[in-house]
Amino acid sequence: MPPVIVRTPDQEDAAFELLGKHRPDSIVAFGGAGDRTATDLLIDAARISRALPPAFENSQALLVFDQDRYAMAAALLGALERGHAVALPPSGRRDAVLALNDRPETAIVLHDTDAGLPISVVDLIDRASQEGDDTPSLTAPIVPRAGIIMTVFTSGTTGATTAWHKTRAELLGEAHALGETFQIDAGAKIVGAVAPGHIYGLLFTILLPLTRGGAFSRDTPLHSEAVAQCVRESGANTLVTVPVQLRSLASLPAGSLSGLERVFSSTGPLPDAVARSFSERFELPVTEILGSTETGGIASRVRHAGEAQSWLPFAGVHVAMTSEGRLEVDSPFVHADLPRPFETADLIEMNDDGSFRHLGRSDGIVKIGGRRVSIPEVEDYIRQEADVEDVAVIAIAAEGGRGHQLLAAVVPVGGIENRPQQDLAVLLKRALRKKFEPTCIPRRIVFVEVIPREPNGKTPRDRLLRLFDLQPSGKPVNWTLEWGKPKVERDDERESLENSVRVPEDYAWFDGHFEHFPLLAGAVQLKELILPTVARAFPELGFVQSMSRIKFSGRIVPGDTVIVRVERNQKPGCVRFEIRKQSEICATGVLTLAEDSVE
Amino acid sequence: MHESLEDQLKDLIVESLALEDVDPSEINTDDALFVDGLGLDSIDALELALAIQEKFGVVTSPDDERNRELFYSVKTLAEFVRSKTDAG
Repeated sequence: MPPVIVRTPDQEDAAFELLGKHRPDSIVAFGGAGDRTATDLLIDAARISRALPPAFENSQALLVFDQDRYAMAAALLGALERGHAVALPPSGRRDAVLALNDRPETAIVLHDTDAGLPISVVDLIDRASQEGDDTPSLTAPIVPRAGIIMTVFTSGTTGATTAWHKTRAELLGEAHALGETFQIDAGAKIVGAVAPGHIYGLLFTILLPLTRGGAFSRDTPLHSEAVAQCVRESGANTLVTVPVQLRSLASLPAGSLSGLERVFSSTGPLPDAVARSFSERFELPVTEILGSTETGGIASRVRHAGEAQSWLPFAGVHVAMTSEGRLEVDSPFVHADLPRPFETADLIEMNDDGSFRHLGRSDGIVKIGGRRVSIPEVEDYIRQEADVEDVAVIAIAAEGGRGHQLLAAVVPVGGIENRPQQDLAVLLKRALRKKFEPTCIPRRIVFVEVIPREPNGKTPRDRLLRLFDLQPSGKPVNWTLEWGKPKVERDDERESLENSVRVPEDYAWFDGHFEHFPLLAGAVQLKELILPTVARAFPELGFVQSMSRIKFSGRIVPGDTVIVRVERNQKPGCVRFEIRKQSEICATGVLTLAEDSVE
Repeated sequence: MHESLEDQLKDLIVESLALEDVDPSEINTDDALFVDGLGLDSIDALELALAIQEKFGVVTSPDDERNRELFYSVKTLAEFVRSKTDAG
């Protein structure tokens, strides 16, 4: 059992202070509607605190912010000061917020949206400031109470949410540890290009600067030009972003992000190509963070132009690999209700030096654009639609920063013949959009007669992928042979054409024939090798009318190069063919074709 | 005959976002691309911005509010691309 981190009481208090390292006139928030100092934040937090209902047992203020990070910070401090814990909804979607608002624990919703709900924090702050409200300021440092101070709701996908309660020690301890690890201190100016309502955004773009004396951008720029402008105008030195945005940023001219010293990326793996182009363009490595809502931060790695390195656990985080190859984490940031060490669904491989490689997930959860999606939940939701008989959803790796994308194979009620498929695809997507984030909606829906299932009901991934014309690797199925140059010979009696052709290892027709012993079936040899060669050699001939003396005497296996030879003598419509591999004859036979080609 | 800019953009949307079950001709020029209409998301916005930059050499605005307006529909996108390419 690895040791548990123990801090002395003094260290503990220092770790949990908010605004303890800012001077009164230090800028805490910049850009957007104007710079704000630590003093401004303490005053605005006091105004919010005063406007809130009193705390009751387990009461929470729901924070819904997507525009002004300063307003969110003020709301957070105000709510904590009033004795409420705070809660983050799984998304800013109206239905998600309203569902949480109905819970008895929710004392109030604090937001900066157009939802028309009380309390719009931006309006409250503006009004108080115009009216010269002289509410006494809060006093720095603010030390939240011990125990649970935040609940993070994650959903995957359907209305069912999971609540993760974060104690002061987990949440602020992690922010403090991140600051120590990456030396984020009073000089840090952080541009948050990820929404602060996501735990990664909240931790890196609000709690980290508030605990360490740094400052954060009020805005959350999205497009690359907007990010560059925000960095340039603010003189920021730290960018907190996600893979898809890094890909977009890598297209900016060199120098567009000058001033940045550190770039953080999380929520999904950073593709090698993106890491390379970004770090070469800006001569700036990217620090990738691995973590989750339930475990907190686990590890980091620095990405340069080369291939991805292994993950290095954060100080105080102990990782191990279970006998099933899963990642086991013990750290002070693991959610208090979970067993320690906590076994995650991540599959890893440990290195001797304590670092590890991340190989993927072992459950049906994937991350798409940073959002966790449960494949079984998406399947269940589609399955309950009236027009759906059966469904299977799979995730494949997606290019760029999306991470994954979903594909759905659907058996419509009444079979695929009886239904205009495009209509059903549109209907299903529309239904899915009522419940799911756009990222969670399958990008492709195909309609099939039957979902391939094993006797135990499981859907073999490779066979599902074939429904989308994809190989097990996720690459498109290869239907293409590699033809060489044809060689034509002609004399008075006969005319022939020889063509070499390589049959690629991943040639699609190898699938499904004798598992673990792939070979090219005779019918495929006829259809894909012989008939195209006949058509090339004798375009004047029409359809095949008969075949005789057909023999498949040698195997054609993945990667073979064979010679296809077709020869015509004076007998009308008669073509002899031969396929050979070096000296071995693989196939021979005679075809009779119509003399008049049909266009 | 050259394809109109609007049709080129529809092809680009389907191709760059891998919307394989959407036919470009089904996208209405005036319809919202994001959330309500085609259901695109913020990741698509970034992917699409990159694709437009690569194909037309047009970069997005430093103002995201303006970008939201520019990316509202095929029509607004086409107007934006025209204004940039004509000026350039």
